[in-house]
Amino acid sequence: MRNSFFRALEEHAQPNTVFITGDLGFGVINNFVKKFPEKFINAGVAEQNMIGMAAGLAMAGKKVFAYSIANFTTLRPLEQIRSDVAYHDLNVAIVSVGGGLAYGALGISHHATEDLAILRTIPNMTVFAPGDTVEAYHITKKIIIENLGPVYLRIGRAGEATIHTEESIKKFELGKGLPLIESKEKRIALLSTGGMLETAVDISKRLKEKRIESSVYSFHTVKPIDVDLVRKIFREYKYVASMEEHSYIGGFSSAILESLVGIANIKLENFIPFALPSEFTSKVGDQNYLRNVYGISPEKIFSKLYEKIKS
Amino acid sequence: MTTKELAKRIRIHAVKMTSAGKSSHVGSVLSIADILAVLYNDILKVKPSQPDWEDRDRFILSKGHAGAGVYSVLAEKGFFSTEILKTHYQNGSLLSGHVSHKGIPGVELSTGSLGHGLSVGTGLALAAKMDKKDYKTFVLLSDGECDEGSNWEAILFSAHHKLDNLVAIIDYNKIQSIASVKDTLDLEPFADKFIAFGWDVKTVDGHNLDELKNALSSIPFKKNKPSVIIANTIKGKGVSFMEHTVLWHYRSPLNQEFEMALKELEI
Repeated sequence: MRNSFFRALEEHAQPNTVFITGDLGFGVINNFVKKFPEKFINAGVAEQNMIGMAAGLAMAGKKVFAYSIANFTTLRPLEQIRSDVAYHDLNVAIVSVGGGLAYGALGISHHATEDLAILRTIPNMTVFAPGDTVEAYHITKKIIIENLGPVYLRIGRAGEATIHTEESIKKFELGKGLPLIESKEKRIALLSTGGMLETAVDISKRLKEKRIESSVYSFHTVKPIDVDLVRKIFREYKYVASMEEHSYIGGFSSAILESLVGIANIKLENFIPFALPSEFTSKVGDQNYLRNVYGISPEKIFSKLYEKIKS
Repeated sequence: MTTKELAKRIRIHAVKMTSAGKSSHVGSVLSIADILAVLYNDILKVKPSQPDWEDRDRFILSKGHAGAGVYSVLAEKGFFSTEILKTHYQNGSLLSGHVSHKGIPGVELSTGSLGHGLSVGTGLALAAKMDKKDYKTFVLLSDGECDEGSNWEAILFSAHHKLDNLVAIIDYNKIQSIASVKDTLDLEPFADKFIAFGWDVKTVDGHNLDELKNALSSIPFKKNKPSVIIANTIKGKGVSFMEHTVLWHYRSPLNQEFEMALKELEI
C-alpha cells in the first residue's frame, strides 16, 4: 500500500502538491524526492510542528501530504490536526503508514489501534482506510486531483495483497462501499475496512468450501460511512460481519452501528463485529501472529463465524 | 489616526469588552496594545477591504487569549464595524474569548491553545519562499507560551530553512498564569536561546512605539535568518492597578474598577 501511495503521488502531483515527512520513509520516498525535490520537506522528528506547518502551507494554497507512522501523525499532533487543520478546513492529508498491527514486533508504540475512532470524531475530517494496493492508489489520486482535505488516510505498510481486479475497481467511488463479491444467496455479508479486506476474501472462500455463499464489501471510506449501503445490507442479509484492525470502540463497527440507529426491522443479534479488544497489544510477534493472538486472524474469525451461522 | 491613538483605543475597547462580557485576560491585551497598534498602523501590508488579498502580510496572534486586542485593532482599521465589539463573549456572538477566524475578516488563525501559531506561521513563511512571494509572516507569542515544546520545533525548523521572512514577537511581560515566568519555568537567558537556535534577536521596550517601529521595519535583521523581537512589556500596561499583577490575567473590570480603568486610559 505504501508503494501504491507513493506511485499515485508521483504520477499525479500537481503544481501545489507538497509532501512533508516526519523523518520517516527511508528507501520508499527516493523516487518522489528525485522527481520533485522542491515538493519534498523533511520536518524532522517534530510532528506537532509538521502538522502546524502543513496548516500554514495549505492556508497559502498548497495541497499538503503530511506523512509518518500512524501514531506519530495522529496522537502526537492531535491538537494541531483538530484546531489548525480541521477547524480551518484546510487542504491537508494526514497520511499514516502502518495502520493497525502492521509494525508487529516493533511493539506497542507502533501499533495504531485507536486512530480511526479518534480521527472520525473530528469535524470536517474525512477518514479513509483502503483495503488493498489498488484502493490505496485510487484514493491517493482522488485526494490530489479533487483537492480533498482535510482527510486522514490510513495505509498499511508493505506486502499487502492486491485484491481488486481492473473490473472490480471500476465501481470505485469515494464515500461508497465497494462490492467485491456479491452472492445471490443473502445469507451473510462480510464488511471490511483497511487491510482486513484480504482476510474477508479468505473467509468468503472458506465459507464457500462449506457451501455457504457470502458477499464481500470493502468500506475504504470510514467517514462518512456509506449509510445507505449499510442499511441495505442489514435489510437484505440474514447475517452481517464486520472486520477491522482497530479497537472495537469507536471504529468501523461503531460507524456501522451509528448508521442503524432508528432503522426498523434490523436484527442486531445477527451482527458479528470482529475488531481488537480494548487492551494494549503488548504481545510480541509479526502482524499475522498478533492478529491471531487478538482474535482477528482468518482462522479465529472463521471458526467464530461458522459456529454462529452454520445452522 | 496616530499609532498612539490606535493603541489607546485598543486598550479602551479591551477594558469595555472584558467588562461587558465579564471575560478574562484584560492584562494580556493591555500588554500587547502597543505592538498591535504599530503592526497594523505602520508595518503590515494588509487591505481591510480585501482581507484575503493573496500578497498580504500575515499576522498570527499565537497567544489567542488576548483575542480582544486583535478584534479591536481589526475593527479600528476597518475590517469590520466597531459595533460588533460590543457583542464580545456574549451568547450568539462571533467574537469568542480566544481569537477565532470564523466569520471574522482579517483573523488569519484561530488560536487559544498555546504553541500553535509559530508552526502555522512557519508554514506560511515556507510557502512564501516556495512561491517566491514577498509577504512576511508575523507571529505574536506570550512568554509563558514559550514553555510549549512545539515552538522550539518551529524555531529549529525555520532557522534550518533560512526563513528570514518569519518574525516572532515575544510579549515578555514576565508574568504567566499562576506566577512569574522566573518562578514557573525561567526562560533566561532568553535571547541567547534564540541565538543558539540560529535566529537573530532584537530586544525592545514593548511600549515604545518608535523602538517597535524601528525593529519591525528592519526585517530581516539578518539575511537568511528568522527574526525575533523580545518586547519587554508590562502586563496590564496603562491601568495602574492592573500593571504587573497576575490577578488581572483573570479578573474582569466591573463597577468602580471599570470606571477607574477607563478614566486612566481616557486621559
